[in-house]
Amino acid sequence: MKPLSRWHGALIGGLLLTVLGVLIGAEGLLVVALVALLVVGLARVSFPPSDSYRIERTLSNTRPNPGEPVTVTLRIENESRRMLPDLRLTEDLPESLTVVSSSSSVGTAVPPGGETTHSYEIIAPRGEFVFGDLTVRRRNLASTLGTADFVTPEGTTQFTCETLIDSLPLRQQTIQFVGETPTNQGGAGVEFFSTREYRPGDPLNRIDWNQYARSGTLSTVEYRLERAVTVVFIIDDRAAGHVNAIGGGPTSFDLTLYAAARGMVTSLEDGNETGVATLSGQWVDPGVGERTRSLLEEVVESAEPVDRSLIDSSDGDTTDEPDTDANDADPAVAADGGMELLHRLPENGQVVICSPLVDDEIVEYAKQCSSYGHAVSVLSPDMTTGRGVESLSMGNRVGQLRRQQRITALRGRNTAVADWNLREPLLLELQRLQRRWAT
Amino acid sequence: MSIQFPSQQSSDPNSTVDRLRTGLLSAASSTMAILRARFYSLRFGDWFSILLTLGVVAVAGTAFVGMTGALLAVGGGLTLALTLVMTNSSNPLVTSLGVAVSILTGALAAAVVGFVAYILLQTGFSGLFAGLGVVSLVIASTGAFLGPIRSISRLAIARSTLLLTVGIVGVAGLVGVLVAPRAELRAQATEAGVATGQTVVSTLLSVDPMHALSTFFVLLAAALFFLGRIMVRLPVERLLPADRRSSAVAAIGWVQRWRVTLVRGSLVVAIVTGMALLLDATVPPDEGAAWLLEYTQLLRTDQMATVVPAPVGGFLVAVVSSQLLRAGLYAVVTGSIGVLLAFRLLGALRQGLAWTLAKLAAPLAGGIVASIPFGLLAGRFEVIELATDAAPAGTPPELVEFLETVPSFVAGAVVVGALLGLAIATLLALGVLATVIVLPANTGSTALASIGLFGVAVAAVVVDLPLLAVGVAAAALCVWDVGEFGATLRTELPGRPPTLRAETVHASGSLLYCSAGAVGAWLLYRLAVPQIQPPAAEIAAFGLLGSLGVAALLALLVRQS
Repeated sequence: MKPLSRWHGALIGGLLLTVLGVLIGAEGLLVVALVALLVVGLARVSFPPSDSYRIERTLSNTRPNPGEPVTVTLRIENESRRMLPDLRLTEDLPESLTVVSSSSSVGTAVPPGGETTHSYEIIAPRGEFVFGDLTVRRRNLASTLGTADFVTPEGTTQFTCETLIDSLPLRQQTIQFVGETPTNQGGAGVEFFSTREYRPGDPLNRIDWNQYARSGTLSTVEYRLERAVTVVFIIDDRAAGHVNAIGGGPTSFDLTLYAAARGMVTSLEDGNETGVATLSGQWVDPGVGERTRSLLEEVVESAEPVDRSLIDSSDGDTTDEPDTDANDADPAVAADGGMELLHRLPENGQVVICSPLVDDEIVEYAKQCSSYGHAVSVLSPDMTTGRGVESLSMGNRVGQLRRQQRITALRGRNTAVADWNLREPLLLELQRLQRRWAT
Repeated sequence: MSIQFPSQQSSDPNSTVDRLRTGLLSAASSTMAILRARFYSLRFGDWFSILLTLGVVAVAGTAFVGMTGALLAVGGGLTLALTLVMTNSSNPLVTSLGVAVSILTGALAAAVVGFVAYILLQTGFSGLFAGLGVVSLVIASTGAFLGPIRSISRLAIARSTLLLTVGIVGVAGLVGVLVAPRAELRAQATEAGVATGQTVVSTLLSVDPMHALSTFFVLLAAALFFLGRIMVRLPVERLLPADRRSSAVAAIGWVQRWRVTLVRGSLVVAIVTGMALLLDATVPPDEGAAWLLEYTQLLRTDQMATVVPAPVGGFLVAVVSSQLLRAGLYAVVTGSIGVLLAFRLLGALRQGLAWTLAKLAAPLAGGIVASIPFGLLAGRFEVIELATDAAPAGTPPELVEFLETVPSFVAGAVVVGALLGLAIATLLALGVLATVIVLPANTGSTALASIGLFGVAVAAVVVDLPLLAVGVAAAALCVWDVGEFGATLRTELPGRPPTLRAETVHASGSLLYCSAGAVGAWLLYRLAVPQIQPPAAEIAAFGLLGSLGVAALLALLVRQS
């Protein structure tokens, strides 16, 4: 237990006044000196803080998705019969974790035999994370004695952040196979779509008998036709097309991959033929079944940001202007402005571009896809919201405006954009997008 | 439809007014944002310290020097804190407003000094302590109002002083512009300026036995301080070969440590001898204070030689009373200030000429703009008559005559310049206090508030208010305890973690044992102290031992820090 020097000034002042009071015979000075000396004395005899305490850490979710907040709760229990008047806890968090709510530190007091809790929220990028030791500083009531402990709390010590499944709505460009993607066409299905005049040959089980009873006219119920679609997810894996999160947390690349993975698996489960392409040249043909699923997983797992991409203008450019990044780039990537990829996309195939939209290049490419007759959607994590910071810098605000302009430009060309605000779950934005399409 | 070109737009007076309005609104909103951020950053402990300090200042001040004195002290503390904060703002508009606010600081400082002088002349020996009590109230209020800022750096004080000096230059420029076109006034102003300059020089070089000892040590401390600042700036070690650098750095470090100690020592000697000489000059030699004056008069240089043994005494008096040495020390101080200003100007120019001009223009404009309302008010409220009546005896008659002759607006501007000078003197006093006491970096405001309250307690005892003294002393210790606790929480737990529970428990504990200390001290004082009547020899022995103990504690403290 280390003594803390907080009262030197009062002690010196008290002694000085005592000496002065005695020397000049001013009794009154002694009373002021006595106050200082007695307070210093009382503070000095204050009991040292107890070391009988227990700390437990729990997490609201040990397998969160990237960007999903996780609540960490610390429960502090005083096992002694004396109060813990000053307990200062600091979590040693891995650098890539960002605290988005409250604080990973706390200063508290715990009554004898009592307990208290402290909660805070973090968000994490992809990966496995191990909590470090908790630094616990204890002081006595007068704050004249203090010590620091490094404690490993009971409970959860690690967690994993990984991609999981969710549904991604797709647009009305389908192929002639039955699937689970709803269309704006009536036909066989389960969800009510409309009624129409009876035509000879309509199945009896689709005649609206209630309508017939009321009006005496025959009408046929149509259900929302569910068709399968061919979808190719294009993952923007250009290093230049990604940014770090403002205030820390998962990068835009992590979130883009997460969004793409959720969409792909859902698409597969809906019976859609699903493929993937990356701008670094990886390609998986649209398909269904386990083989396609494993190929898609391979692409997602091996994806990393690259310096050179297919949508760069051409190889020839780099020979004229030597460029460090270009020289380090993968020579297998044949940059042709993305033309080869465009030709490779299946006819009638939908394209979902997954990108944070931090540059104009990807917007141009989306327009190009659209002009080749593909229904294009863009799934974009918004990296300009800054979850871990209170206010945005001027530069960040400019970035926000420019991204908004890109989204407006895309929407102006009838390209649906799912603008994923990181403060809300991805699913919410996807559902909004689906509602927009339905209207 | 007509097209408006940029040149046309700029000449439109409305657009200039709009721009000015926009700039002012922007300055106001940014200031409000900063204030809001500062207030939100305050924790329970900060609020507790601030409110307790202000509460005690209000109660003790009213009991001590009445409502007017208390209000004066709180107002002085508030304007001093505002001056310090606003003149250190990065926004030029806020800086210029800070210069305007400093005029109020100067006015309140003048009022406090006048009040203290009045008490001193009315009540003699105890009046000095009552005066110190008022000054302590101002210090405590300043500490409380600086609570949201927390640290009080000498650099910030120096920056404020520099800006106010530039503000004075602005006011002088305004006076010059108003006076220069009129030949008669111009001649009169020249005469007044020369006479004032002569008076200032002769006052500075004066070796009157009444103040020679104290002013010499002030001058010595100033010269050592500024020399040290230059030493810090000069890259001496870089001029040496690599193998000698470490020894040079060690030597410079050693010199700097001793220089700092000498500066503090000189200031302490100057303050103690200054107070003693002030007592000697102002306290009437009645029966109550006669014993004290026997000692204080020994500090006069004409008496000192008779007390201190022959070779040392003569040498000491010769050094302290040497005008040549004083002139040399002044030369060192002014030269050092000049070099430091040149360094600062070069540093500023590195950031761009426009930036430098904006920084210089802000306090100039602040001084000039603030002079206008003061100048107008000066005529209406006959400030010049009041100022000339209250002028000290040594004021050159040419200056008084000039002030009486010039238009009231100009005279008002001169008064504004004088008030700015008083504000600078107040800031310098704060700087001296920060140098002598060594305010902690992260708890400067708390320390200032606590020291101020402790000073009030000491003064209350001397003016025979022991119960009030006990309460204020306990409050001073409580303010320090809770404020310092909050500062360590802030250091150890950065950001804004929840700490309310720990702070509440600590504040409750602090209130408990400070109250217990106060009650215990009061009981001991009432019951035990009257029983103790030690003989003179024992008092001397106690005094010696106590002084040694304090010296040992001080040495320990300096070593630990």
